[in-house]
Order: sequence, then structure tokens, then C-alpha cells
Amino acid sequence: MTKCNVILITGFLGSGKTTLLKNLLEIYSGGRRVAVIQNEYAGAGVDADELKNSGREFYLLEINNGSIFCICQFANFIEQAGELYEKYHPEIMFIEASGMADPIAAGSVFNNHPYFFLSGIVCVVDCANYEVIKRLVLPVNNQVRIADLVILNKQELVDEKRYNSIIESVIEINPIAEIASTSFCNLPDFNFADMDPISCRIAGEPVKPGTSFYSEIIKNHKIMSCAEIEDFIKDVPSSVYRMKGFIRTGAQECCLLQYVNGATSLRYLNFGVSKTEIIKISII
Amino acid sequence: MSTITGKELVKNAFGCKKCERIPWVPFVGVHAGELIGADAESYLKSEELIVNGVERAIKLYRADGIPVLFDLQLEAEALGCELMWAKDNPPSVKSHPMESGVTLEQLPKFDPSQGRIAMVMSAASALTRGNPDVAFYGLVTGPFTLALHLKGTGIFMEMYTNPQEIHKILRFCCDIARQMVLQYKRAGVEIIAVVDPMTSQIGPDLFVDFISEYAFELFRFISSEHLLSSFFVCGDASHNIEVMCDCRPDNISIDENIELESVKKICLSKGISFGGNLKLTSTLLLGDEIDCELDALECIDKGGDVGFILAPGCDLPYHTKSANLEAVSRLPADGYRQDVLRAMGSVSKNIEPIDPKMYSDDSFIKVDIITLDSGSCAPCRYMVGAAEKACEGLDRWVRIEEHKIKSREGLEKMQMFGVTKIPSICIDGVPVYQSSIPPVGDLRRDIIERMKEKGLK
Repeated sequence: MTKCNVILITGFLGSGKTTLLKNLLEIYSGGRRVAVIQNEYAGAGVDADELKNSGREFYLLEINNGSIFCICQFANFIEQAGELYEKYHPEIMFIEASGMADPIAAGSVFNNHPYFFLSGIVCVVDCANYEVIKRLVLPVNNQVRIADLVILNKQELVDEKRYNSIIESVIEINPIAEIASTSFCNLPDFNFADMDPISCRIAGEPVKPGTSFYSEIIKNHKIMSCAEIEDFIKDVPSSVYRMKGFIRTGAQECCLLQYVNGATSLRYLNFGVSKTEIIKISII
Repeated sequence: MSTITGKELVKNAFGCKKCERIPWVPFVGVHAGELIGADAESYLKSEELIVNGVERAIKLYRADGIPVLFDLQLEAEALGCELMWAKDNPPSVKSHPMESGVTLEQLPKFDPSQGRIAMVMSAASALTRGNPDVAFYGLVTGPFTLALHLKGTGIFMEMYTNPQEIHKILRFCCDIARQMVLQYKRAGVEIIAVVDPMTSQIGPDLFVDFISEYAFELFRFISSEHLLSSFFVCGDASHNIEVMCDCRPDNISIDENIELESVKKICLSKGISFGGNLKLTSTLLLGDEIDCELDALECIDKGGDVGFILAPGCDLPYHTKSANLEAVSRLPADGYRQDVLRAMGSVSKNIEPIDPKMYSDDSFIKVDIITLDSGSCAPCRYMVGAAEKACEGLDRWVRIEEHKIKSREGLEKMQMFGVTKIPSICIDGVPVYQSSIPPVGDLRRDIIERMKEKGLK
């Protein structure tokens, strides 16, 4: 059975995650079996009600992560998600992470999971307060840094100068993310296909129906030298489809690795990371 | 045999003294409910269940120390935060009173002699009286986390726009924490853990501006009451370890997001003990006994026998496998097992992957089953059973062999086959089913297919 691809939606509270979810449901529900996981804490159920009333068809799993402040307990829902998969066999699952969730911690829950794999991370940025929040709440930086797509929402609330400075600061920590600029998270022209291996292409060929993927987060605290990084990327097995992440290379520097379908790019950046974290997606 | 008690071991570690063995403190919260068949909500609301659950955990997990309760919503509830209860999780705070304009002065008067706090303190008294050899931790919600409960996430913006107001709330929360310390002291608890996970969300500059003053005061107060203190944090707080140490707790407890060796270096250089950082999810919740033992061994080897306490990174999930915690609990006192595990670790460096030619004998099919031990592990037993059933009537052509990874030979085989999960089945040296027990029919079809390839039937 084809695995369910998971798209993680991150962003600080009030950035527009639920609005984005509603818009995504417009795109996906009807044609696909869609599941949504929301933390009940997010707006004390208000957001979930908003989704339920959207008139779209999807399977909603509300989790009560009691230790919402205890981000390491994110994994508690995995059992319920497994039950949801066995019952409904969703093809795509959106997870609205809590505002302070570490996307890597959340993603590692799906390491080599029999039903799910992490296929993409979207980060919604509230342009109106990003400059302040990124200085105050560190996980917001992690959310932007690791995202495949950064949505600069509420762009109408800032002038051009501020908007350009926000883009610059996003590119500074994540030069390879796609950046979309929106109001009300409205992305009519954006194609989520790149984050959706069901419809994406591998080596120019469409993915065969039934192809199964799995994801894994590789973590390591060690500082790696350039030679070690070269060694690491030299013999990537052919089963690996995509890798992306930051490699710890020193106190004030890191290396951004991007690998897609045999093509590798390495960029050395002038900020430090506390550990190497790489998301790897492979084909079974 | 050593006569030193668990409590003495923990205290020695807190004092950065060399320990004859590393103390083990399982952070059992609602998981104790599962041990005695109670859901999380019932458990957290009943003195009797808490006492029974914690005592069960002490016995089952050979705990040197243990928290009385792991519920960071206790004080918030008493201050008027509405809670949302769950069956297999601690509750979460549903409403933040100060978010809707309630002022500090308008919050309910904090009265620890009432409600759940009084019940918890009564449980703490019973536990400390009944288990004098165990080091009990009284968990106090840290000022920043309690402030966030009261104020909601708007607190972050207000740290920027209205810092005086945030300081006022933190001052209030620090005073609440002081009252909780006294309550625990009266109940006979000797270690106070100030649990402030939210501090991992801010950088060291904001930590110094907003947290240090209150945390420092709190740890000095705990010390003046002749109690020991620990500063609990979770999440990636590696950037804050130095400033946390500067608040002068006796101990710092971290989770798997932070590298243990770097924390050890910083803490010991400042005369502060440290603890952690077993992986809550990947090993304790989702892994098996061997995963957990190896994780614990890594912590033991990195932590060392001076000033280190072996503990999970945070509150254990409700459904944590007991067998996993039992496996960890045996390790600190079992030097022999530690040596075996180290030997197992060294095996991996020397093993070559299996050569499929070894399985090219055309006269039979080899079915290898890699298990923990089918005698004691249920999934392993089912896996072996499935293989035996699938091979019924094929004895002439098929040979089945079980390799138990509790032995070095079994572990070598596991690594030779390139198997990463237990239980697994390999047909002629190729892993076919890993960690999923196949329907007998599917496995039989795979075997017969392989027989056909070899011209056996």
C-alpha cells in the first residue's frame, strides 16, 4: 500500500497556519483522501471548529498534547495517527504544528515509519511581527531554516522596505527555500507538487503508482570537516531521492546540504547550528 | 553488597562526588497511571492512585529517585487556568486568564492548602514516609513557564513591547514557586526540580534579561531551606546551559536535544551536577530493550561516575514500554551487562555484510529469523510461529534458524544480514520482513517463489 505523505505546517501563533490549511483543503480534498492533524491547544479548539465548518471532506485528528510546552513529547500522537491510517488510508496528511514546535523533532516521529513519510515542510511567516518574533522565539528561526516553502503572509501589512528586509533575512538562513508572498495565505498559483512525491517526477520520469517512500531525520552533534562531508555525500545509495539539512561544521558556521536525485549542492553559511540535522527521503 | 541507598547515591551525585554506581531517576509521571491501570486524568486527581503508581514504579524500575508528580499545570490550575484533560497525557492549559484582561490582582488567591496541590502534598508525605531510601523530586513549575500559562504566547511580544509588565508577572510566578518549595519541604521532599521548559525557546540574552534574576533567587531560597535543587529544561537549550548554570542550581537536567558531553563539560567546570538524556521517543517509547540498553550505556559512558544522574529527557510518555524501562533500570548496577553491550557495540565495526553466495546452495532454502528471544518476546514468538507455519510440509527443502540478538552470535548475524529491526525474517540471506509479522500465506508464497528460482519444486 502506498504510504501517506506528510506535510508539516509550521509558523508562530497567529501567522496564518489554519488559513493555509483551509486553502490547502480546497486544493486537495475531493480528489484525494486527506487527513489533518491539529493540536487542540492551538486556539483551544477554535481553529479546529473553523476547519470542521469549512465544508471540505477530510479526516481530522485532534490531539491533546498535554505537555504542549514540552516539545519533546510530540510523538504521543503517532499511535492515533497509525489508527487513522489503518481506518481511512489517507494519501496526504497535513500537520499543523504548535507555534513553538521544532519541525525536526516533529519530523523525526516519522523516521522509517511503515505508514507515513515526511515529504515537505511549509513555514508561515507573519510579516507584521517576524522581525521581533525571530529574535525572541528561537524555534521560529528553526522553522524558517528547515522549510521547503516559506510563506510570507500578511504582506499587505508591511511596506516594501520592510518586506524586502524580511525576504533578505529569510534567504540568509534558508537560501534554498521557495518563498511565496501572500495575503490570507492565498496561493492560487503555487504548485505543491514538489512537496508531493505522489505527483512529482524522479529523474524526469513520473513516479510509478504504488512507489513507496520513507523519511528519516539524521541527527548528530559532531562537528564535521569538509572531508567528512565529502565522504558522506560520495556514496549516497541510489535509493535516496532527496536529502536536505544543515551540517554542523563549527561554532559560527554550518553547511547547507541539498541533494535531489543524484545532484548535490553544498553551501557554507556564516551561522552556527547546535547539531547536524538532515531530512532524508528514500524510495523503497 | 553495597548498603548505600538510592537517596544517598542521588545526593552524592548532586554533590559532584564520585559514585560507586550511577544513580537512576526515571521521570515517571502519568506513566505510573498506566502501570496500575488508571487513565491519566483519574491518576492525577487521586492521592491513592499517585501513591500506588509511584510505589509501583519505584519497585518495577529500581528507582534511586523519582518525582512525586509530573504535572506542570498544577499551579496554573490553582491560579484559574482552565485545563483540558486527557486519558493518556497530562492535561493542557486551555485558557490563559491574563490573555483576556485579568490582572495579577484579579487572579484567584493562591492557596496550596486547597484543591489538587493539597492532595499532591498529602501523596508526597505518604511517599516520603513509606520510602525513606528513595530521593523524591518535588516538581515546581518554573516562573517563565507559569507566566506563559497565565499570559499565553502573547508574552513573547510583550517581552519586547512591555518588559516591565512581564517582570511583574515573573516576580509573581517566582513567589508562587517559593510557596511550592515550602509545601514540598513540609511533605518531606528533599529535592526541588524547577521545571522551566519554555526557557529553551529564548536566547541567552533574553534569558539573562528576564529569567536569571528569578531563577537565581529561587535556587538560593531552595538552598537556604537545606534542600537540593535541579533546573529542568527540555528542547534544544544548548545555547542557555551557561546562563542556567549561573543561576546556581545544584543540578541541571536536559533532554536528548542537547549533547550530554558538552553539558557535562560546562556543568562540572562550575561545580554543578547534571542528568539526562535518554531518548524519550526513539528508544524508550518506540524502541526495544536492546535499543534502550544501548542508549543508556551511551549516557553512562558519556556522563561518567562523577556528578551524573541517568534519567530520561523529560516526563515519560504514558505508554512507555515497561520492559524498556526495566532494561534500563538493570544496567547501572550491572557492570557485566555494560561490558557485553560495549562488546556488542564493537562487533559492528568488524562485521562484513553477508555474502549472498553463502546462501547459494541449491539443495535448500535458508530462513533466518532474527529475534530478541522468541522465548520471552511476544512479537518474536509470533514471527517464529509464522515462519514455522509457512514452512509446514516444506521441511525437505527449507531450513529455519532463529538468531537471538541477546547473544553476541545473534547480534553478529543481525549485522551480517543488514537487519535493523527486530524481529525480522531473511530468506537466503536477504531481509524480507523487518519488524512486521507477515501473513503466513505471504511468507509461504515468498519461500515457494525462492524454491522455484532454485528449481527445488
